[in-house]
Amino acid sequence: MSVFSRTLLVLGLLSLFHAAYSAHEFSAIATKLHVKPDLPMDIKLETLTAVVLACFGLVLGSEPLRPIAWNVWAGNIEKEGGAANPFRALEERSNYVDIRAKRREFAEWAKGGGGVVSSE
Amino acid sequence: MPPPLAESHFLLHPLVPDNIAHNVRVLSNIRSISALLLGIAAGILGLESLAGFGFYFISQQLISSLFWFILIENDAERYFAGNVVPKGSANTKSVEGREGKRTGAWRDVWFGGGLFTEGLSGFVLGWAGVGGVIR
Repeated sequence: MSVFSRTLLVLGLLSLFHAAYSAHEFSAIATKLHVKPDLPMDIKLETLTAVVLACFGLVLGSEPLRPIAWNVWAGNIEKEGGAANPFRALEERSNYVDIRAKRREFAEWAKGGGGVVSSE
Repeated sequence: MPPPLAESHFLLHPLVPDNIAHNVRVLSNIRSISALLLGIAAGILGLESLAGFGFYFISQQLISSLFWFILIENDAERYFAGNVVPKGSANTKSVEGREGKRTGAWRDVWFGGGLFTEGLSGFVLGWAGVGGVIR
């Protein structure tokens, strides 16, 4: 949830609470004076604005959806790599590591000064 | 005998069940939280009977449209399952007719996610509770 969406949500909730309190005060005074007028326009507007803001924040701040087709999802996993890959156990099997190739790679890396290597 | 249309379609184009469940959960989270907020708003506004339910359904459709344009970006089949219908003509003898395609995922977005169940009950809870406390 980003800062922007969280701000919207909190602003909406506070504003909704404020509108509720205003409506309560208004109804208390109206009861004391024995009249039954409509809710003032500003309270109505505040309520609607608050709820729209909060819903906007809620939708913006929700987790991103994931594509459901296997081919699309597998493409995403390939691009990102790492822990999300469900076939990782099959692709990286330590029993099948080519230790000589790894050693050669390491020797070259060490000869080159041991800097950061871009993985290819 | 050839397998049913939906079955053969999902053999050719498999779906990820985890991701379907994740997307439905995101939608129903949004629906249930916003339904409670809408109920509080309806209570403050002092809506009664049909006006309140009308307020709920119209506002939920506005939220659906936010969801549709912000999160789904107008491509519902990418994120929701829908159902399988024959591709092209309904003639099951042709290859096209047997293959099928997914469609109708918009229903899962606009009417799914607990719009009539969890969302509605949360709305009524907020509506009655706040309406009773304020007045």
